Amino acid sequence: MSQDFRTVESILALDCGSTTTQAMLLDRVGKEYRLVARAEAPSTLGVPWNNVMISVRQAVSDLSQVMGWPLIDQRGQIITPEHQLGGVDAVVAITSGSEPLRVVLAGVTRDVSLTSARRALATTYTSVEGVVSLDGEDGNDHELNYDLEGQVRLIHELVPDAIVLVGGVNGGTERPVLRSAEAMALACATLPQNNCPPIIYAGNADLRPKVAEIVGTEAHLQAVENVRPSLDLENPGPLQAEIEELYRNRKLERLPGFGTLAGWSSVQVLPAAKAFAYSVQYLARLDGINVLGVDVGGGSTTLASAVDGQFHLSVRSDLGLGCSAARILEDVSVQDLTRWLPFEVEHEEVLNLLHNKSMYCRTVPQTRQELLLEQAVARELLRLTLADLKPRWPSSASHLYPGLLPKFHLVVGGGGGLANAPHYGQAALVLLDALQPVGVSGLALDKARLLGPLGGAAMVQPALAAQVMEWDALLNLGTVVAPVGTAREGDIALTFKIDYQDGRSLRVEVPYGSLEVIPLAPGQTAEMELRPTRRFDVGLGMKGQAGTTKVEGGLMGIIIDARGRPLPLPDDPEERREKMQRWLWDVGS
Amino acid sequence: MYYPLESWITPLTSIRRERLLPVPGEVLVGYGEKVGPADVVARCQVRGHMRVVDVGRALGVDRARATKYVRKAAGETIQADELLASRGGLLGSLRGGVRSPVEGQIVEIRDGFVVIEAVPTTVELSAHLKGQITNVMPKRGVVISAVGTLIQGLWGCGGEAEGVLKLLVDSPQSPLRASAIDVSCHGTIVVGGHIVDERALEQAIEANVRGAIAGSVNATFGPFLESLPFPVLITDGFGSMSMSEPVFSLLHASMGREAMISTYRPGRWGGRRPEVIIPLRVEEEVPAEDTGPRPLKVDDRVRILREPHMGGLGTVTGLPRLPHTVESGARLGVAEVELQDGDTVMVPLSNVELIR
Repeated sequence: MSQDFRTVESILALDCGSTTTQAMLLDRVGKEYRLVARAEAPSTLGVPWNNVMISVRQAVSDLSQVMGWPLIDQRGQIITPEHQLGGVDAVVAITSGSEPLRVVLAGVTRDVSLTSARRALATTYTSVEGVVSLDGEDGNDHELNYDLEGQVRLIHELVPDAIVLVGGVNGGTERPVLRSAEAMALACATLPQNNCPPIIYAGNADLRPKVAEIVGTEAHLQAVENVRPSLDLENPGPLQAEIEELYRNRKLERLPGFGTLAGWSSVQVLPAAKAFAYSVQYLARLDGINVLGVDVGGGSTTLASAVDGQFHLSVRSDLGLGCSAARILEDVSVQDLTRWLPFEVEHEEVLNLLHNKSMYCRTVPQTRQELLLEQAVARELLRLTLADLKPRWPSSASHLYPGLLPKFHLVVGGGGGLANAPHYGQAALVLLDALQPVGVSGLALDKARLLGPLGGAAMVQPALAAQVMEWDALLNLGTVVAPVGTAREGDIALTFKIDYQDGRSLRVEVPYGSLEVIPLAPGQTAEMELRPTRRFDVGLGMKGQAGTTKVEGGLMGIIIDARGRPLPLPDDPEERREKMQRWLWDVGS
Repeated sequence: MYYPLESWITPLTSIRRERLLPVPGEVLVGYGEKVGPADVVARCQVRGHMRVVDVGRALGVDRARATKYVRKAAGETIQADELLASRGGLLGSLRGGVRSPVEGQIVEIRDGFVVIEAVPTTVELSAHLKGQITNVMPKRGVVISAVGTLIQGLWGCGGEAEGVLKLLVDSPQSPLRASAIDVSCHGTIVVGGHIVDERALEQAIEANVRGAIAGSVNATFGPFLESLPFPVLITDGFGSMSMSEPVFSLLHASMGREAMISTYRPGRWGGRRPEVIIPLRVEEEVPAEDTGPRPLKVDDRVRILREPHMGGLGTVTGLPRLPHTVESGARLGVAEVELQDGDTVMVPLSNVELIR
């Protein structure tokens, strides 16, 4: 892998998702690096194919055909480096297609160390299959003190990929942590040696020698720094790194066809969520802004945020719009989904659609009704993943209103669930409804689904990735102005004046409860004077505070979302459906 | 080139099925042997439940000291209610000691806890296919080869079953009705166009059927179906669509024949599809089932997987090079499909399934 990438001028980026596999060629066009062409094929990870390379080769062949430039030789291998008759200088690959790492989490209290551990685990593709705690409650949770047999059986039944043992701040509680270690060691002692999951200890640092003594030779023990060294401090990094390593060894590298994919790739194959996070981080650092990136995929939903220099990532490996579509019903009701629809639909119809989608996960909605239903699911997927991320945002200058989003200068939507929306307004509305940004934010769509692949490409040629990011990655939807506050429907929430570059100006009063879209073409900017009424704040930190800001246009223009924060929905179903339809019309869909 | 989803719905093919033990065991048949569906081809022992006895607490002693009162060593067997630990002396005898909650083997003694593994259970693996053994994997299982009809389904639950096929409807649109299920269904696999009410399945329990096959079922029935004492296989999808015509025709033609149903459920990361196999005795050579993926071509027979033509069958008449705008407004790669009623429709490539 110690290749010299300085001479790399063209990169083939491969994104192997659970539903779709993409191939993109990034190459020099004149003086800039650009996305030259892109092709996609349905992923072939499951039956009957069981080999990611079938869809990779199909996508690359299609790409070759589009460009009239051979990329694969007669033996089906990638041509590299590029020469006069074809090929590419480097290949990067990312994937979200492998199974998540199955983890049993053992700790002391659910709202302290276990919560910190869950957050650390959520930064990669993991699935918490069982929890053992002092205050076990749920069906999958086992009570630490009185259910030793239950814990042993839990490990026997699940045979997880890893046991994560946490608990106690440094210098703090000992007994429950050691008890937990004993239970896990006992369970491991009764498993065949080759089936025994490794135990990762990320609890009270003072107890490491005792935990090592208890576990003994029963399991492979890896001790990392305490994930919760004190009550007011969280230290997720070391546990995250260990889990990522395990995920790579136990899952990613076992993806069917991974060997060939890794052989093609010039650098390590990256988990897609991590690559996506790199790009979001880059966007935030580039201009020193707060960025929220969301990716609604077929098998998982990912949110990456940068707020006041702090970076957070949350992956829900069990929530997606593809094979796990019906899984969302474990977390939300059918009514939670249908509340986003402008038409009435039978409870059973929703269930049937989601179950059929889970079986035939690569299918796409062909009717408007099914499309809007899938977009309703996307809203709830985002809301659920957001709920995991929200507690991690600290109180800071940007986080003005607890319970609401911090101020994001840029919100980017990606993944098939948003990028494939036939109308930009629909994608924008999904983002606004699910995330509810506050104040003034740019809104963009990763239409070509480039953010993840560019995170990988940056490992080979950062300059190339940066230039493609600037030119091709984001489709600017426009600017959103979302005042925070409540009033009676129809009362004026905000008055604004917009001064266009050509000297025209426009003054508009925006009533509470409405969604207004003001045209401003992509590439154009305008000065916007915002005058919220005394009950509303447009992100300036004080209700009624007026201000002037420069706004950028986009495919949608300027969206004034005066529907309220948090977004209230009418209880009356008929009234709610009418509103949904009106909002869709407002965004041009 | 587009590799579509695919389903095998074929009247005659050569079928090879692996039968594997969950854990290593003993293979009971040899290469070339002929087997019937109920024949046991392999056997293994599956570990029993783990029971944990807190000897320290039961004896009222410190856990560090409790281990010395355990009367058995790791690896020894123990009977249910047999004395596991006791304190010595008069006081100990009076207290009666700690008895084993289960018959099994001591697998671990540690810090005052004793882990007992209950007696393992023997699992016998049946052939579940009428055919010939064409490969033996020592300690793991066998491959059985057969010739017959193969129908891959969409969803199933309840495991495996063998029985004579009994069609209870006269068209693929007709639902399975309770009134059609009587004592003559005993021991059979009943077939209906779709399942619309639970009473039919309750009646099927009464009649002691071996299994049920239907085109579709409402997803709300899921938990009920899972609780049934026989397997249910769904061929087309969730909802109330009819059984697709080729499936119905094959089942109709196979009425009275012995069939095997398996309700495997493929997961997100692999696994097998549920299937119906109807073995046939054929003299001539039958080509092996070609399990390799193949691209979609003009003249292929396809099934449509999403509305507005969900469940529709047709033939691919064109594969346009340029994307087409569908009803939702999306521009997608499509296949031009001539439906059985003669209509020609454009269907997103992702929404067609190749019928092989």
